[in-house]
Amino acid sequence: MKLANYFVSASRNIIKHKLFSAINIIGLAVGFATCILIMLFIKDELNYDAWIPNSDNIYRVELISHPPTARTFHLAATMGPLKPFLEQDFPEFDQVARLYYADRNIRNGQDYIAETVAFAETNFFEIFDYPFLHGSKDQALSDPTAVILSEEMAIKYFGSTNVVGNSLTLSNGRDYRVSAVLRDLPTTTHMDLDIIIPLSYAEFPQPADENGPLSLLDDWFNIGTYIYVNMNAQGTEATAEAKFPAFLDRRGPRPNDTIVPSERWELHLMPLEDIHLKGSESARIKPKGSMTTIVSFALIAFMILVIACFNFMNLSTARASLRSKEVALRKVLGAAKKDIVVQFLSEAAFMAFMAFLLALVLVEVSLPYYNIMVDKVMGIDALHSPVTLGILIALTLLVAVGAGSHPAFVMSSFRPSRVLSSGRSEPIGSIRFRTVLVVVQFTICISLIVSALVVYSQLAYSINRDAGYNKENLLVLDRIRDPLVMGQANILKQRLLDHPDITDATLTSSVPADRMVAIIGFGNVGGVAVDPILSRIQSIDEDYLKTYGINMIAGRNLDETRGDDITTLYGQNQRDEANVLINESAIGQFGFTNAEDAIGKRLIDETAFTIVGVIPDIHLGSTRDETNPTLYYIDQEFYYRLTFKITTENMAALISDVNAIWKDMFPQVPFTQSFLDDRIAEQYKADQDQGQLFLLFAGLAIVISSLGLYGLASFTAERRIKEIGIRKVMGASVFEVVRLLVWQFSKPVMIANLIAWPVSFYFMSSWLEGFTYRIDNFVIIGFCVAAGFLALLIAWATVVGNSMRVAKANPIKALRYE
Amino acid sequence: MLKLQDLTKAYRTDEVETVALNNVNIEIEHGEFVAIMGPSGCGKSTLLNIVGMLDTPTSGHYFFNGEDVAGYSEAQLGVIRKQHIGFIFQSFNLIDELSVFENIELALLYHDIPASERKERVAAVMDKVGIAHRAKHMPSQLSGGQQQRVAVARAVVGNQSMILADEPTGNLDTAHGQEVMEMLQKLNEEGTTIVMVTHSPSHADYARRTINLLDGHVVTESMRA
Repeated sequence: MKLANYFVSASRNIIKHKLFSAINIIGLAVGFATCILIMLFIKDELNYDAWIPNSDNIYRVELISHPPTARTFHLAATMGPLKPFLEQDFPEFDQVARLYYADRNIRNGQDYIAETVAFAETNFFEIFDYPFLHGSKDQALSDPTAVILSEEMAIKYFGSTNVVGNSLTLSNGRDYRVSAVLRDLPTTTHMDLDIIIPLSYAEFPQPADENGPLSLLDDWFNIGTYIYVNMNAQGTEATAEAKFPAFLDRRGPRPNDTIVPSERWELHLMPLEDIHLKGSESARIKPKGSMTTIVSFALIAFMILVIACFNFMNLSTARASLRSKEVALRKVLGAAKKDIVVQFLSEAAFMAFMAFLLALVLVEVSLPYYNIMVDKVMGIDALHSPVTLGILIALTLLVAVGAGSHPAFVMSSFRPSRVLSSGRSEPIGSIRFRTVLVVVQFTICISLIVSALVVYSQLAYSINRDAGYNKENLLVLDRIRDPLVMGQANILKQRLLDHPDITDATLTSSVPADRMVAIIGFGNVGGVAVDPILSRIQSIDEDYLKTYGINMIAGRNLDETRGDDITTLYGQNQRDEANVLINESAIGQFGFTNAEDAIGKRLIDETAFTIVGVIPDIHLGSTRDETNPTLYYIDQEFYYRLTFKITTENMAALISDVNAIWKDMFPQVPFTQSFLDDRIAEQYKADQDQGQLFLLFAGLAIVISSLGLYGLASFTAERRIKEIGIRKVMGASVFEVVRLLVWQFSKPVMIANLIAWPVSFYFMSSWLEGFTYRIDNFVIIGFCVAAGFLALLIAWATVVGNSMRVAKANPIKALRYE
Repeated sequence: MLKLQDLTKAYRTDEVETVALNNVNIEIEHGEFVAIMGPSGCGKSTLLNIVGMLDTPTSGHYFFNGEDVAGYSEAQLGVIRKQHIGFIFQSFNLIDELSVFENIELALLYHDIPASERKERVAAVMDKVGIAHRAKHMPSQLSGGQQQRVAVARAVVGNQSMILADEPTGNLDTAHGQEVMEMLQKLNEEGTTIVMVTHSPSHADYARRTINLLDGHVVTESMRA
């Protein structure tokens, strides 16, 4: 019945030493809770699409493109016309289904709402066996004017879910009958399936005449279609991929006579479950998950657990010195070394288990807030699986043994004679060991603080940096490319300019922070043949420079009244001459000596561009991207955005005025507007989330470490009471004693700084290298110093109270006869 | 050197008031060697603590070199204490983590004495008590007698004019006890005032005067011829 005895003595000990127990259990619980939260995040990231029935056999056909004049790029989407050929040539694919996304405006009686619609082929649900709330998968996609809604969408448009048979109207004028309602899917999927309409020629018609644009379904070069297949027993990923090059040469398009399709493109199969983390970067449906984030989070979880375990070890060994007499007496009374080890290990296990229970409560309470931070929908039920729970309990035991064994062995090896004859009980080695643990804890804390500071300041820099244009007070309207808007974009612009509070307006193909970029390559500059040079292209109008506050460097602005300044790059009205502006980056890249030198030079591709002006570099993308050479030209068929500059304080009134103009001109197209600086900030959302999490983890690490330090300081003070008494008798003042004790804890923190600074400098400077435009590495050094001071201040604040108490105590108490 | 006048010390717990010293009147001259004797709990240590300014009286006067220090604050007492008074304890009270040299030096550390002078003075006093060859040893490596010699050295290294010894031989065997007593006697002959609490009549014989305490009162005072 020894075990029962240990349990009794463990629980009494915990109750007796309330401060010690509270610090130990709370510290460990916070550590556990953080670990569990991070584990939930990682589990969520790793299990994308795994819940889909038969997910092991589902693949997406992805495309790798090797353009002759540009870098190879990987696309999540591929060529739509491949589908029938894949069906014919690959008996190992049971089903081949296409999915395509397009923007549509939808209404049920009221105003149109802008939506992204998934166009899915009729056999889509043969591959993806999603649960239906109403309707059946056999009927759902059979009618070309059917629409399938998610529960959420059904409620949005109809207020209830049982709406099969009701109709929605699209801005093409047609009515769509709701054929089924899908149960809301877990968020851990790479697809968005809120509104599904059958993919058919009815939606994407074939051309009425020979020269008309091809239907999406037949256009080899509109690479935006996702193709999914499910594999049967006749093949494997490897055997199917081996057949792709020959298949492409047999069935694929020929861009010209010299290149065979398999040299220009590659196909490969991406397993469904891998799409989230490993799928191609371009043309994704949802942002890619980051393996780096997962690894660094796992590392952080481990480090926080280490900090919490070290606390446990530290406090327990520290207390061991106070319990040495008890241990010695037990040994004198016949306890073997083994008995002492078992006693202290079971005490540790008992504490660890209490911490584990408290951690579950902490997770339950904090999960909703955590979900908001990491932008996920995770439930505590993810922990309810016996396997996960088993892992957590095993982890708890591991922590108990790992953290409990050091104190157990230290204490069990006390020699009773020594302990009982002198007051001294603790070998110097174990004090040193504790110091090492404190150093490790604070190294981790300081590194996390530095990381958080660097992530945040890079973020602030990215959002606020001077990108070469004036981004204040600019509002952007999307949907200019909508067929109902396109022809009247200039009239819209004019009507906006009539408003007294709008000073400038410009139509462009893109605005800063747009992800879409167009690239062109040409092999002849100024009459000289060159290796193909790549350049971005952007369509603007003559008011672009004025609206964005950009000054010319050389030459002249484009002029809409001059015929040769107006271009049509593609389509039936294609022109092969165009006057363009270039940016500063292009001067060097194109081989010109300076801006003046560039004026009048010609760049020749299918179109011959004549440079008439040079403008400064305008940084359009994220600070991760570099500024590329860019051509600016006027092509009125390529306007997607309208940007206008406002001068009023009364934003609400102005937006409502603009809305009224829009509604008047395009009643069927939803009105969407946004501030340019918000759009710029939006592209750093992932960084912002990451910075927030780093800050949270750094904070938690500090809380746990300080708890440990506080406990340690109280025990140390207790242990040094005699010494302090002697020092006071010798004439030491309270201040001198406090300084002595505080210094004892400053030393490990300072050593931690020496380790943490180079480590975090190394990691954070390589993180910053991912940004073309970034804060100076020198700034990291400043943050290191700041984090070091912060850690020191926290350590001081933690220990100073205790030290004061001990320093003020009357020394005779400590020096009385023993 | 010091004069206690109607000195009373009472300890108060929640319910009981215990009087440890009751109307004590004692005068000690410069250069005296006084032994304080009495059974356990008679107030010897309380008296020594008050004389040593580690504790303050409840009422009465304590004149130290003519100055009434009875109402002084802890900090004020600390200043006088570190200049004039050295302590020797029954349990030696050396700091385990410091070497012999460092333990002795501790008494100078809080006196703003430059390091070179500290070194000289510690070396001199170590010679005097015959512990110089152990300078780098830790207290745990020394015998009880040696530890107490270190404590004595520490008590006098600051040129204190008075040493308060609280049963300095209580933890020592006869031979070592003798050794320590002879050392104290020598110090006294060189002019240091010594006040010693002891249980041993033979050690009390080293003193010129013996004060007997019982239940907080001075019962007898005897002078040695």
